[in-house]
Amino acid sequence: MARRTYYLETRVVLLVLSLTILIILTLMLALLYRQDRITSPLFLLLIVSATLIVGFVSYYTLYLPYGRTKHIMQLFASGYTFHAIVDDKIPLNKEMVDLNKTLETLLNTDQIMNASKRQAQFLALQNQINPHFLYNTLEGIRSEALLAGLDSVATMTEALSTFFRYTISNVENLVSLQQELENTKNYFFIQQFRFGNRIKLHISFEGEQENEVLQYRIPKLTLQPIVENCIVHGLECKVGVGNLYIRVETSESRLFITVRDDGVGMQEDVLQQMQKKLSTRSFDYVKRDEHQGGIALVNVNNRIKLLFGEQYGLTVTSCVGVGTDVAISLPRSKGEEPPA
Amino acid sequence: MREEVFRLEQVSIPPVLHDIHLHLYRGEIVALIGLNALGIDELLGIFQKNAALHYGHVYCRNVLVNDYLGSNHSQNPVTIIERNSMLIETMSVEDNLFILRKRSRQHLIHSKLLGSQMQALLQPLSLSIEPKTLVKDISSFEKLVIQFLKASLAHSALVILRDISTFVSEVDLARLKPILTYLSQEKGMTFLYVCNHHQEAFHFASRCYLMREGRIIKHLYADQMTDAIINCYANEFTESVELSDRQQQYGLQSKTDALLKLDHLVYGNIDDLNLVVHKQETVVLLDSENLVIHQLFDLLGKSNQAYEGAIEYRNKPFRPSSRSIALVPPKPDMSLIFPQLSVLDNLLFTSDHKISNLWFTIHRRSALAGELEQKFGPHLAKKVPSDFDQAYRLRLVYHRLLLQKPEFICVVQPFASVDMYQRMELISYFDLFKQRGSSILILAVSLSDCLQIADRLVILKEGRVHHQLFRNEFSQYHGIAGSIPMQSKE
Repeated sequence: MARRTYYLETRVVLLVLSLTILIILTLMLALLYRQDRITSPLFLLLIVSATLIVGFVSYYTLYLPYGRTKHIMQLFASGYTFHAIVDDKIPLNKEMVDLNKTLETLLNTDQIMNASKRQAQFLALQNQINPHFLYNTLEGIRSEALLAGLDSVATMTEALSTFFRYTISNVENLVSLQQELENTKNYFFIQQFRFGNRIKLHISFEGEQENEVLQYRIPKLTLQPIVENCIVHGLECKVGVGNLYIRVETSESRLFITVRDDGVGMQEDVLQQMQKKLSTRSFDYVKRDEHQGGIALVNVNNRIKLLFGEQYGLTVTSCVGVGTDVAISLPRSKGEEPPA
Repeated sequence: MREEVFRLEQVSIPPVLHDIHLHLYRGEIVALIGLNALGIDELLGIFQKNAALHYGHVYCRNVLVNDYLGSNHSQNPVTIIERNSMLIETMSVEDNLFILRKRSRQHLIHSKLLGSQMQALLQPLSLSIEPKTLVKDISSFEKLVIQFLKASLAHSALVILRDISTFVSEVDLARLKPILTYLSQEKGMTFLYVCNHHQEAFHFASRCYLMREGRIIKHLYADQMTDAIINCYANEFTESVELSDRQQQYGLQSKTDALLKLDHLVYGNIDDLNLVVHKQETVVLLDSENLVIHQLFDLLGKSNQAYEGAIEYRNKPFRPSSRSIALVPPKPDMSLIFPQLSVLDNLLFTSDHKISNLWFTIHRRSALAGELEQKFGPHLAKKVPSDFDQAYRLRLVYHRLLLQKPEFICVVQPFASVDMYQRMELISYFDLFKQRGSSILILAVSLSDCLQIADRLVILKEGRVHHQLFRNEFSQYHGIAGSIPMQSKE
């Protein structure tokens, strides 16, 4: 149980009490001065000093903490942050602390994490049963069979089964970058049966040895949904060859992955909607209509923020005719569990 | 492994900055190009000082220095280098470098030691300056390099170079590249090169951030730093400036009478300068060594006597006080604005020769205010220029010139430190001046978009005309920063 002075409400009461005492003291001293029981007007100096001290103390213990709490509430209301309100150091009153605790329970990370993870798997599964995806893939197999090239049929089938296995099995949160990249390449390989040489994947590493970087842990199904978005919304509609670049760079504490395509790009209003979804915290997307698009990106962004904190996540920039960039910021970690 | 010197995560200060994500590594040169000016000042302010944020996190050398939960208003180890040098002009270079620094703990000054240390610092940069030379006696370029060294001695995490092409000449910009490369690669200094022109940024930087309306709209890596990609972001500029019909009015080389004539002029660094500006002609005088343009502008503005030669206007001695002549110094949004006068008075300030009794009759001014409201907003007589931003004040200055209708306009660096949208507006003003028959002389140390409004480019070297190019020959000039009109590209 925190001390009573911990709450802003208590501090306001203390301030009112101090001011009341100060006023009574001033009136009493003024009365005594008028009755000539006090001869020196120095008592005025005492009152001014006391007022200044009260003002100074209330500025630091009341005004500034109140401003901070108000700001956090505004950010919570606009969706910028969830956890700052729970971690508020100087809450308004005890009831507010209780309310925050209830809120924390509602925002229970594990539950939301599981929901998000389930949705990520669902989105991936949805692709598997997506008729277009399945038909195109089967069409590819059929074509290859017609040409009697049994090796390529086998390769394609293997790629498909590896992709299914990776997506459905492995229930842990984090996988190595190598595993995630392998799955992404696998997915790209499957898509190449449909698009042929029209799409190309380029992967580059900056700043550290490739084999070192590949050991870093990232959330499962981080890259594949983004690559899928790039292909479906960026490269599929492009006339001519489309390139997809995955650039991995590291610093002392971060892992930056940029997925970039040179496809058709997004319209300004679509981009703004997407950026708003990514910059504010909301789990509305879980129940949202699938046709609204961009669910996969929001899902990846939210899972990263839930796992590592609100300073990590996705950013999207795009321009019609240039393409779309998705930058992923993650902590650099080789451990099984998310870094503290 | 790369060391991160600065990282901004989702930094927001509405309405000027929105979700800024940016990271800078040790020993690299990164450019920041503002397609418009919104948010640039605030962003640079965030690098310098940990002021209150609406949202976001700021890391300096991997330590969280500022976030939305609390800002301590402390200073970060960042140096900003811009037009106004941070050096003290009346002190020697040596004193500026070693004495005036925070970590200087010596009580006795060992001049010889400091002198040798300074030479050791300058030697790899292939620069030689006497330690006792006063800062006011060294060139803009040398001041710039001394500021780099000062930042290096102060262990600045980041050096921000802001619009340096506005005070460093093209020749010096070319000399700057190896120096920046040496300082970044050998000394591990990190530079953020802030400018408005992509050609200039691409020349120096290994990657680049594009910013518009307070947002980072693109992070360009080396393989993407091409004109083709930039054109997609600056398509308004391309359409309104490069592809429109306005191009046809330039480059028509008909022989007309000379309006301004510089005849064997000698003054300061100007050495036997001969130049003729014809009626309705726009000439860009490129001082690629940054030696003479300010002296030439002083000579035109203050009626100073040249040591030798003469300036003639309509075959008579040049008189700058005439209303038919307009002189526009650098940064006219500050220098040509009268802050105590209303917007309306500022606009009409030089129009009294066109409208009789302008200052005695309120109804005439009111009638003019009504006409000008469409462009400048209502209640012009009650508002002062300081109520408005740079773009508005710049518009105000050029619109005043439009009302003045001068026959000859001399402008110094018109496109310095202005964003793409302001440049587009200025170009349309220069088009109007030309259509109304004015002759324009542009004095520049770097080209920026000057060639878009030029009929002729005159290149100076050692204070005299080195050679000149007409509009159809502009593509022969290979500068660092500057757009070339489509016509001449073809």
